[in-house]
Amino acid sequence: MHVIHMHCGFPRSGRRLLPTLCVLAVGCGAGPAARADDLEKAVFYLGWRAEPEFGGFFQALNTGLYRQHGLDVEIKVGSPQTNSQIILSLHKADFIEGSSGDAVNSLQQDIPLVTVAAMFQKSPRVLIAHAHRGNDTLEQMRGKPILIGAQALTTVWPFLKAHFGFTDDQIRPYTFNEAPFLRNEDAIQEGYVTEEPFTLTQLGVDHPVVLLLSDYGYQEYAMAITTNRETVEQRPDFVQRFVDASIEGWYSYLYQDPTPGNRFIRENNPDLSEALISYSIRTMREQGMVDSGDAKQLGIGAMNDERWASFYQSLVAAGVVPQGLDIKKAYTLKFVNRKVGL
Amino acid sequence: MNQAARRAGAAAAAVAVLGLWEGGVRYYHVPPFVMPGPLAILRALVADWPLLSHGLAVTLQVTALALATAVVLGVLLAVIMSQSEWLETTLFPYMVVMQVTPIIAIAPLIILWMNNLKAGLLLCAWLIAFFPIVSNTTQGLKSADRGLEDLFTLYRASRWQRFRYLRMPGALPYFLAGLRISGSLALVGAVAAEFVAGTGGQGSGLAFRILEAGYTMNIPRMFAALALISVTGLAIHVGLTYLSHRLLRRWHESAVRGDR
Repeated sequence: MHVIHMHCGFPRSGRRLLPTLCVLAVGCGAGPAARADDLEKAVFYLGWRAEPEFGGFFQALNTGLYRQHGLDVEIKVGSPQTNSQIILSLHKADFIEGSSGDAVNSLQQDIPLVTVAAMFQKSPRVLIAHAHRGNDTLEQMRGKPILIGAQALTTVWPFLKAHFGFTDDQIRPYTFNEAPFLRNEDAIQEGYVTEEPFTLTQLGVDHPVVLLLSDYGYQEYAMAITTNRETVEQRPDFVQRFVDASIEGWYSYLYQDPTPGNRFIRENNPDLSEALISYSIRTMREQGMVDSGDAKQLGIGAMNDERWASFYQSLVAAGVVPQGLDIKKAYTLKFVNRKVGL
Repeated sequence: MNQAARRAGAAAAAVAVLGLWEGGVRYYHVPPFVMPGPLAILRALVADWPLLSHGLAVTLQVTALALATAVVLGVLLAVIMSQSEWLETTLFPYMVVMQVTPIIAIAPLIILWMNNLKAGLLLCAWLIAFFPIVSNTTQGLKSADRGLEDLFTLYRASRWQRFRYLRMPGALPYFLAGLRISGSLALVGAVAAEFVAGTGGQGSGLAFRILEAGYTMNIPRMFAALALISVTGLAIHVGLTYLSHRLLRRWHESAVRGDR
């Protein structure tokens, strides 16, 4: 693999070593926040609207956790149309939100990106059906039409085909409009566990069947912090502080008062209702999206080699990626599993 | 000889542009996921040919059907509108509205309304391919030479004779110019609609392959699909230009060559 160093005018020349060390000394204790000019600038690109699924990061920003770790973080919300992996690889951001699925794609295309922490132990992807229509399990959905968008087709669909016998003739276009689902009692659609079950219930669907694909063996790590390999190798301390502060932000968002994080959502995505925000937070907590499995022992953000390897193998089995990629290049465990925040 | 030299010149220019592109990408070490060079695109085109050619067939099918429907209905409507000023004044605003409504904005709704996906795609492509044919043909049907109109009156030509022997041939060059525009637009419409529908699997056209390649960061494949769309657009244009030349070369000013 070629590690290509891009020079895109990102202002890295002005960085000095000394302030970083000072900040370290301050950031480690519970001491006062560092002065603004000592802070290291970090851009975190979400590639999505501000939603509660990113709440822990917003919480870290608005409770000053990033500053305590010596970072001046700018969280950039984006549109789903932009490709955040390219933004990251061009150094227009220091970190992006990704997933182990994205990581495998980057690996396959020789793009030097590294996943450094996984905030979601479970993928939030669900299939939703109406109650009492004989669509209570994935097995029962085999052969039936499913409303599914282009992105899900490149991620979860191969998994459903390989493990549950789904076929391409079941695909129906999902344009993020709920009308086809509401109109047809037999419809099945994709969604996020933290959103669609609530919005559909609000629209009058009575207790929809919600199948969390991670319960069925879909092992993707989601809401992952991803950065460039160059950053991991040359600025490990910078990465570590961003990861630690984010983890603390997530504990705070889930188990303390989420108001500071939600303020960011209100400012950047004012249309989102309070009810949906609290539903999302409750779901993340109850379903253990963030704090379950490895995260219980090792802290939020935890990842392990076995799961990365078996996730990659499941994609190989589904025929999505070739055999023989070095999956260990796609992630590193050195910034997580340190019981931060426990 | 003259024509051969012109073609050689055009080919040399194309090669030079591709060479500059490849050279630039290599010289500046632009990674392929940011901007692939022509060779990387060609490699992707060859490697993914089964996938892409299947997508192309699906997209072409929608394009051809949309264009055919646009021709039939467009000419029919133009004939109707050319018969009466009143009808034209009444109907034309709707044509314009159809033309200026951004297809990207309404395609999700059209896909929703039509229960059949193919029909939805077809309707989207037809909507934007339709207008140039109607508008040009209507203009053509009204543009018969006044002197000839008077001649037909003098000989007491019937309404049908006037239409068949004067207005229809007179409108042909206009219609063909509209057809060339609509040919490319039908392709654009088909691709745009597929983008919105975003359906994968067996029935997926080139647009879904572009979406998929974007999500999986396979940018060379994305460019290969885009190159296929460009080449297809060129082929449609060349084909329709040739058709137009064949139909007009005996008599129309635009196609008659030399000898003066």
